[in-house]
Amino acid sequence: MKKTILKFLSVFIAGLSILSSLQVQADEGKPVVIRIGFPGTGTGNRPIVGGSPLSTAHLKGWVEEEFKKDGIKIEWNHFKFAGPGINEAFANKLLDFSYEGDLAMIIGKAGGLNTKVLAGGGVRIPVAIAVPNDSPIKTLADLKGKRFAVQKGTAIQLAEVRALAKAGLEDKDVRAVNILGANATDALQTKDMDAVISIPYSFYPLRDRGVAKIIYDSQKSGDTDIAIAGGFIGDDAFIKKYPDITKRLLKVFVKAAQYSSDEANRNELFKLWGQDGTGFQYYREVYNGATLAERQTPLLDEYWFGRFKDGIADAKKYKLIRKDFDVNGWVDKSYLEAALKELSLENNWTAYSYDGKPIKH
Amino acid sequence: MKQKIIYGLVSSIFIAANAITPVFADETTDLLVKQVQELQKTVGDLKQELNSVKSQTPKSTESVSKEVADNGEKNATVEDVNGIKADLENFKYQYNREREYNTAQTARPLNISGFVQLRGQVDSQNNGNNLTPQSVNNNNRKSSFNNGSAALQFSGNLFKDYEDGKNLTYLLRVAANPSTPAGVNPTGNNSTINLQFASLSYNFKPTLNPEDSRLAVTVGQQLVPFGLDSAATDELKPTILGAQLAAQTPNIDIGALVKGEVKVNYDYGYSYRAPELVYYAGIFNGAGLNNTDNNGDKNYFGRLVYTVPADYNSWLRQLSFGVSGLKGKSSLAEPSGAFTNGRQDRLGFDVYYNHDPFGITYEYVKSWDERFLGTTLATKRDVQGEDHVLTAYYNIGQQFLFNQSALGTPSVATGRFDDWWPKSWQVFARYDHYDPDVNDDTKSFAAGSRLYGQNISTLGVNVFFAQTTKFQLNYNHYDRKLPGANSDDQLLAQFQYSF
Repeated sequence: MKKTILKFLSVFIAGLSILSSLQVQADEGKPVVIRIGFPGTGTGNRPIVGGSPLSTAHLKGWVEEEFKKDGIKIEWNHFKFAGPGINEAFANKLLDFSYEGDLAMIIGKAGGLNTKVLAGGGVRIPVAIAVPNDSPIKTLADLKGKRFAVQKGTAIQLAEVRALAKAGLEDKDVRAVNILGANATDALQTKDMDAVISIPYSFYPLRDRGVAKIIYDSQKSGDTDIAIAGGFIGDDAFIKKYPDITKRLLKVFVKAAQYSSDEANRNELFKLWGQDGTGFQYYREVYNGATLAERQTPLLDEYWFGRFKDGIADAKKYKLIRKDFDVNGWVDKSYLEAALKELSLENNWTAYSYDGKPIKH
Repeated sequence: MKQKIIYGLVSSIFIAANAITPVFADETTDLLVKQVQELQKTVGDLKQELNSVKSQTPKSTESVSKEVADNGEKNATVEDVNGIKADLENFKYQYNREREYNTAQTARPLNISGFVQLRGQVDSQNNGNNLTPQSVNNNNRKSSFNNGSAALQFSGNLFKDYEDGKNLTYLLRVAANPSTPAGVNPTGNNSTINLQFASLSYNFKPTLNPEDSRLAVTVGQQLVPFGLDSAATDELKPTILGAQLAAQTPNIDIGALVKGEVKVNYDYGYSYRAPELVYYAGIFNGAGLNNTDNNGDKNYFGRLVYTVPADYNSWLRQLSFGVSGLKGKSSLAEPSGAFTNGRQDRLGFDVYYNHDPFGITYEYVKSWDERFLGTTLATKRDVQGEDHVLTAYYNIGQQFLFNQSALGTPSVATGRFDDWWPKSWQVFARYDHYDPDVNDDTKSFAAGSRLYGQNISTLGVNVFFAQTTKFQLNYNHYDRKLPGANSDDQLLAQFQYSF
């Protein structure tokens, strides 16, 4: 019996070796495909998400344009499970690059994902808390003991614990329920949830229909410490294997960041991003009072480092990660700096200090 | 706006009135006339302005502001709005009519699903995969197209608890048995449609939060989760044919089952949910599918599964150890024709390690049965059987990854415009050693009172070329232990689609 099993397994392993070698051969030289991820999907599960330089590059087709001559296919993946889905894909070698919000990035790295942060792009993103229109909840403190929907494992969760802390509350003081974004706003409409936290424009349609009201908006409250930060990350193995491809991709990313930061493109940009179902008017509203450049900046400046250092500390404090790590070792600025130099955009964006104020030179 | 104009008008009159200071009659008439003319002109201008505003007011109330890209430069007219209203009414009428006439409606939320297997096989032996010696091989049948299983399933919520997710759910499945090519000269249709699952489940603990442990009770006809292979549904099995231990273990039975969890580990970074301990306790007839109890004893079932606590990115992810036990009685026909109860006990151990892209499972089952054997049923023995099943597989592609995504496990985890699905491959090997009668003292038994098993070695590949459709190719080598029986090499191919 033992001989039979051994013989059988040896045939199986030989078959696997052949398959593995075929895979490696297909991957030599340049990649056949570059797989890029987005957190979330657009309305109706459409594969469009606006709001970042990567969104602009995607919708303009600039990445495909860059790699067309090489015959490299570009595969865009919009993950319904947002950050956790992206982490799952990175862990299983199904993704090469992605934009991701802070907490999911942090949990992924703390859990051992071999990623590198290559650029910013998508910071100071406000969050809001909405309740049914006739709810007695008026302040953050009123959330105590209430059913509070939050998409856990995403940047929203970190914003949630920080917002609750503003009112002297902790996660355990509310009945936090883990629900995906669209389902959460539906639950608000049916009053199955007492409150929901998300990006402000998620609530605008409900607000305009008189179904919900926004009781907290981090931007209007001036709570910059609650705003979400994000970044453009890549699989370290891919970056090391294809440094030239990575460099070219970053150049496209920076070009998209420049377009997305130019106030002359404000209306065009919101129309472009609005294809995700959010709509032009809601992008315009959520950017009301903010410059494009301060949110679309690709710079990894002191402000970005501060947000992530605080993010790691908070994630540890709120027991969202078990062990912390050094942000500096996670970031590789070289590709971004090369792209900025090549495009002569070194001084296109204002660098900000830890407290979010411009650094004066 | 109106208030401002009226205020301006009154102010102007007041100013103009002041301008007409009392004059003495002896002052020149010309000056007076000039002042009156100026006053008339001012009043005239103001009247004109007021009329202009009045003429604009009805227009602004009739128009609807249209927030478009150019920020209010275009206004919708009353006709535009009426057109949209008419369209909406037409749509509502059409929707209601089509819903009434063309949409199947149910009393409660209903999910209809099912699967079908289309199979073909080639054997090295005539009447392949036939455990009896091939003494008669007249028809030389070595190949056949067959139907595999086919099932239609209905499931849904009977009560949805929005507060805590303590839902009451139902499951109903009817399935057709495969037509079997066994036998020397099979004729006729031996396939039947049976009620396979008919159960009701209630979650006693909240299910909304993935980090909370759950407790559910299921009553009715259901799958008894003894070990790995028996508990897996056809949709998830890598092999076309199930492991032989199905002959030993309970598969579907009627009774009640409690399933609970202790200490759930939930990795939010990956939406990975893994209860550290899962326990099952059940009581069943022990008579199998669609049977009333045929004896005075019930079968008692228990299972414990321990999953190593680990983060998603750990190499220990999805490593589980399980033990299963069943204590029961079967109804035995005595040589006299009377019936008596016989022992029917099972003990199993299994290891499950599924770390995409590869996985390995091992399962061992030991059985104790009291049986009357032999051609005259003269020998009553305590028969002990055992089965070892070892399965290893390797996946290329995303099929299993997406299927295992947590948070409600929708089958498509990414947004796409089209019916996108990544092609996935799975290669696997299985070794299945089954001996229904481990006592090898064959000489002491009368003819026909010794049970013989077989070892089946399987190499296979599964190709997932659509979301719920796969092509399976299995090579099986049957090493039969029955004296005189020939070993068989078999090639099985199957399309399995589900909906």
